[in-house]
Amino acid sequence: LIDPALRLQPGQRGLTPEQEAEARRFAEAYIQRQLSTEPVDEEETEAFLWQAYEAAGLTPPHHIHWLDEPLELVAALAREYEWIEVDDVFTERVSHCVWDDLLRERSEITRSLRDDPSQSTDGRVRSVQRHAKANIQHRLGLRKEGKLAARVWDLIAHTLLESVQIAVGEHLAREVAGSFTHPDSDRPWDPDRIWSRESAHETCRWHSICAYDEAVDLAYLHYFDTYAVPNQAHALAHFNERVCGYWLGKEVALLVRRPRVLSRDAAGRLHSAIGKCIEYRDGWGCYAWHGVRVDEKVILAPETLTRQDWTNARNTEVRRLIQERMGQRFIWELGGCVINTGPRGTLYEVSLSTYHPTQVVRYVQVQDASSEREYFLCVPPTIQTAAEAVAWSFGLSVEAYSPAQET
Amino acid sequence: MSPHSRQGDLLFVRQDTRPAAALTTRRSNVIVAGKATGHAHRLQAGTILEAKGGARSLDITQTTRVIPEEHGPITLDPGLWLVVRQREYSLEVIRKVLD
Repeated sequence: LIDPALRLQPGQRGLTPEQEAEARRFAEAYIQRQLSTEPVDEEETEAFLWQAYEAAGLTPPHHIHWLDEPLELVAALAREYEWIEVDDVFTERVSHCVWDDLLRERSEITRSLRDDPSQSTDGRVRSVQRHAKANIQHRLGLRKEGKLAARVWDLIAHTLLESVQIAVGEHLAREVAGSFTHPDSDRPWDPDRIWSRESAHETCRWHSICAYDEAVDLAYLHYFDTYAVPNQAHALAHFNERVCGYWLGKEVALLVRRPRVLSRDAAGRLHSAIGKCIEYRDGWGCYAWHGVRVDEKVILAPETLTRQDWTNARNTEVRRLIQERMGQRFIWELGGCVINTGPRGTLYEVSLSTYHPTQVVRYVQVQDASSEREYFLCVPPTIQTAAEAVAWSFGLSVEAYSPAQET
Repeated sequence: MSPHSRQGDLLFVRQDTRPAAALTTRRSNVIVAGKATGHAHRLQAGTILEAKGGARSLDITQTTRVIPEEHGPITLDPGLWLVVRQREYSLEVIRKVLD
């Protein structure tokens, strides 16, 4: 039973301090459930899925299949698309009965991936969210841009956005995107298209991990469902927090189980010093160090990291991590000599080859003003001071570089 | 040199005039996101514009902040601000800093 003081009343324009505190607690509990790695009660989850279909006025599916990781769902949905190639390892893990059942869902797959997603069964089940929002606005007299709606969005949805969609979902989206071949495989990763569903391969990817994207809106709706008026998204919200991804057809539903490992640091960033930060039942997963995606070697075998690993890393954050993981032997391994030290950092010269000592590069070691982390940036060999190096990195002369704010 | 402020690997340089070339408006509030970290510099209020070559500017009508995930926020006054990404030297090409 919910304390009446915590419930929202029609016409209410803002949250009381008690309601604010309760909304924060609600958001935190929702995040914990969404990111939990405890095995779910699959019968209960399927019951919520049935209710979600019924809430959309649809007949529930006859067959519900559970998949062990996102790439199995990508493989299952992308079978008809020859320009999407998923490694056989994942395709072979999809059971024969899934392939047989999907033969009857070809038109549904095409509709949801290419033709008209909103009219597909999948799109119609998810559309209860739109109806639920309208219902809440009507029943509570809630204005879309009003103070109460904005505050609840800030406390619930925004929190989920940071902790679930960005911290976990976006990381996972990159990992899935990099694990199968598609027309954009050779293009640089576009952060604006992480949750895009414009092309078939993006839509396959989205379905495979969509629970981390849908959680933002569903948590918002679930809050109103709990503290104001029941709404049509009730069952979908309960279902969504028990899975990683899903695709919903007329007769078949494919559900991706949550990972068995999902490790985060105190700030909520993906992190594990002893293994994969995300790992699914079949072992597929990825490594991260305080939110930075890295290779297995950086986590599991830092003692084997070499100067070559450091110089080959194109990414300054990854390079900084390699430096951090190499520990005290880093400077010795680098073999650099100090050219200049000043308030903006230290300029090093490093010989690239013992056979050709004239082949040198210069790095400026700088400290980030906010995080106090130390970075190395490669600069031209003509640079003489650390201050000149930092100014050069922004295309300015040392005289012109004088930022009013620096964080 | 025009007024400028730095946030990590981005420098925001105040522009005295608007560029003659057409700029497109980006839908997202993410100015730049890191490739390995996903850490993004987000504009709290205002519009992010993009030139054909990819250069980005911030069109700000009221004082606002750029919110990062790794750095402290900075405040920008109304006006047009050019976004300069920190670059790095390499033996092959000068490449933008990828973080």
